[in-house]
Amino acid sequence: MKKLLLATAIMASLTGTAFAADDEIKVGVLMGFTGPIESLTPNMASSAELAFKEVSDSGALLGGKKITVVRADSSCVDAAAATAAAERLVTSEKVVALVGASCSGETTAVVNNVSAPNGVLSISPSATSPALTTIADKGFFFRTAPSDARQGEVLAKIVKDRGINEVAITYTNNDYGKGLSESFSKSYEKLGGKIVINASHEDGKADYAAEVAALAASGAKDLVVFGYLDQGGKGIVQNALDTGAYKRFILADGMVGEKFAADLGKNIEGSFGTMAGGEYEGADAWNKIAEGAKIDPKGGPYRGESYDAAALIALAMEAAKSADRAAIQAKIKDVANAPGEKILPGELAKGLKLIAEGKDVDYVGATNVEFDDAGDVPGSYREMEIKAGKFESLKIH
Amino acid sequence: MSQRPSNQPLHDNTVRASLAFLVMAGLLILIGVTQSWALALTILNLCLISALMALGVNIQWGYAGLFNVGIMGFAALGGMATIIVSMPPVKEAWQAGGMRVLFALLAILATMSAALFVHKALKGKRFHGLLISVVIILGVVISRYILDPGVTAIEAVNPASTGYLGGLGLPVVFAWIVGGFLAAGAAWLIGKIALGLRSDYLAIATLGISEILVAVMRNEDWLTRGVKNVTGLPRPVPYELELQQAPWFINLVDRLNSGSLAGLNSTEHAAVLQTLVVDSASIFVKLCYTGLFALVLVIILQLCVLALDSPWGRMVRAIRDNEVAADAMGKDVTGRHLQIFILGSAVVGIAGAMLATLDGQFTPGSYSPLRFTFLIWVMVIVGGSGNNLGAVLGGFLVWLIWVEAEPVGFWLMDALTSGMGDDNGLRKHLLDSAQYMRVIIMGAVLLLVMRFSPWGLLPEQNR
Repeated sequence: MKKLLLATAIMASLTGTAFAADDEIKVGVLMGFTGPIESLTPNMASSAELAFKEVSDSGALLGGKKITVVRADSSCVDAAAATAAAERLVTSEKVVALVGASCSGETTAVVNNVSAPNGVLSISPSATSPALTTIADKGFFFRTAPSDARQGEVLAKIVKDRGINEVAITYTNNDYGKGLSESFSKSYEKLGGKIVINASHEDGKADYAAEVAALAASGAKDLVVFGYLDQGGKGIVQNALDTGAYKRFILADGMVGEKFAADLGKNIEGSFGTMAGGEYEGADAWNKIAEGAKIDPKGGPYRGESYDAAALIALAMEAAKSADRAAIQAKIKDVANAPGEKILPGELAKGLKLIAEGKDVDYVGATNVEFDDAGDVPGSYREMEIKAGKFESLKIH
Repeated sequence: MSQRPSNQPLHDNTVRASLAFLVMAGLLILIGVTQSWALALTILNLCLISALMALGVNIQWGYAGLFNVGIMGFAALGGMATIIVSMPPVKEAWQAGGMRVLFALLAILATMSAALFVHKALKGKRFHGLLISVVIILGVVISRYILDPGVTAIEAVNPASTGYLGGLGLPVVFAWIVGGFLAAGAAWLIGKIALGLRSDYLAIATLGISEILVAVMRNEDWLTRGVKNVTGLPRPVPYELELQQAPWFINLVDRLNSGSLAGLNSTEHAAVLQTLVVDSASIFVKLCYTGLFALVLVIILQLCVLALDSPWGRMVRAIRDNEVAADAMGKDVTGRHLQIFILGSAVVGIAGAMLATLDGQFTPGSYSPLRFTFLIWVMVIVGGSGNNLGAVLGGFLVWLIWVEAEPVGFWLMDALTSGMGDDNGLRKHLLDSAQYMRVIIMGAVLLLVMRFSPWGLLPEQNR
């Protein structure tokens, strides 16, 4: 009986969704709604959907077509489940393009097994692994978040410019922390800096005394922390302060957050670091429309990147004059890169009209999108320093 | 924990099994017709792998009552085999530190034989334990002294894209066998230490050891690239993008669809053919995987059935149902337990290697107990522990639900709230949380099965 019910349920769910109206274009949003980043993805998905809604409401897309979003859960860690979800979006829902996936590992599986073989464009707003730069995607994969390799280089230069010649490094043992630590070490040593110890830590431990003791024994005066501010990274800093091992910390984007400054800011005066983001032309415009749509402005990273990924898909559709998968992919760099009239968040209707008139546009968006040949964005980073217990922005790199 | 209550009812499920598998096939065909065949095949492939994993656990739990909660570790070992067998070797890394790794391996082997020798020579004499400890500590120091510079050198070789030794560059199918042997080796070692323990202690030991195995894979970058992941594993089947270019494949698709392509002019014909070729390539590749996986499953299932029906199978069940009695009859309880622990783990290892092959990547960071230990346990329990076909059915059904819970959950929410307006807050909230239905539905299935069919969907057959 139960199986009969299930069968009926599946049958009904399919007949319900199978008939989409002709003026509807389906786009997939494939993100890790369950799993390690489930607290970030609802805001990211809402941001992407905000862009699609803006486009649909404008009535300017391909003569008044509407975009329907189909969400699917990529689970962040389970490549098999992510592949199945992507397969459903691509072959059953017949989406014309994907926003996603969200984590680096599953994104690789989805691009290799589903989106590239089926010729479907996917733009990830949050997969930052350097390995995705060289993936064999036949040009069907882009990302609006910069690769971790870039941040390591920027941070190494900042540290060296401040006259610091010797550091200890601790990183969280996953692809983010490890990738960052390697790109930082390489650039820093090239600049003449010395790394006395480069040790990993695992997230989710109750006590980091052993790790900090090893780092303290190295004798370096500054500690570089590549971790998460609500995980092991914070534990390390807390313990280093308690034992008096370190007073100044060098931090990457996973550690730079208001919560961290509020908790420990008073004790780490002069610590500094980098976070993704810059003096973006579109930042104010993005904040305004995000507030208007009730997307929490402190709701975590990658919201602007998600909006941009979605907006680019819609603009490319208009530029291609069709919602054909390959045609959209062919136009994505045209609308994203200079030259052309600059388009900011909230101006998508204007962008669509300009394209329809045959003019060239340069989508700037919330995060200054500009794709290189590998489909990566260069990304800019903000140098942050703790002053009077708060993060203060110093300079854009 | 390892003993079944004696009041278990009599079961004969030939009819039930045929019906259940017919329903399964029906569900997959339904997905194929209403969603897409590519999706149905994707789910089927993962069902086959899940079924194999569940079969491995069933060998341990269903035949012998061994409570192994370290399945994740064996699946990961199988995954690691795909790297070691199939990735091309990194020549620079071998030059930089390969010799040191080999010598360190020799040093470890020498240490082990020295310790064994001391153990045998001095058994029962004074300083026996002390001397063995000295030998082992010395061995560890020496092998680390040889290994460490080699590891540093290997990991320094182009760390962004390699930084590990690579593999042997053999066809990936061999990795399935090697994965089985790796898992079997680990199981032998664990079994030697832990199988003497009572069942609940065995559970804790396997849980801990599986975490250790995965931690090693996450940290030994020279071997597995650690958390930097190995992607782009070679496939045993053609690549879609190559098939889409291959003339023989395009011709084949053209001929198969000649009926529907007939009345079109040449530009339309080319466009329709192009779409058909892309779709067919994806389905063709999946069918190849299905064939390979089904072959492995059928072979191992047949071996399991034969084993369980043999005198050996009767002995094992006798041990499970009453260890003391079996021992009194002169059966080697510990020996059989070790044997079964190794066999079951090897099957899980093979399935783990197949899964990594299908994903095309090995990502040590993604092995979590929820997905790789407890979900497999749910498969065995829902399917019916002690019954080979039951484990296979459980693997199929649970994986299907795991994947389809999301669209079904969305449809349920949509149907439940269809009376409300589109901007209704409750409707919006419910539709947005459809993704989380997966866990709820899985729990509900487990509860329902336990309530209405406490021995699983296909209970063990009494004979």
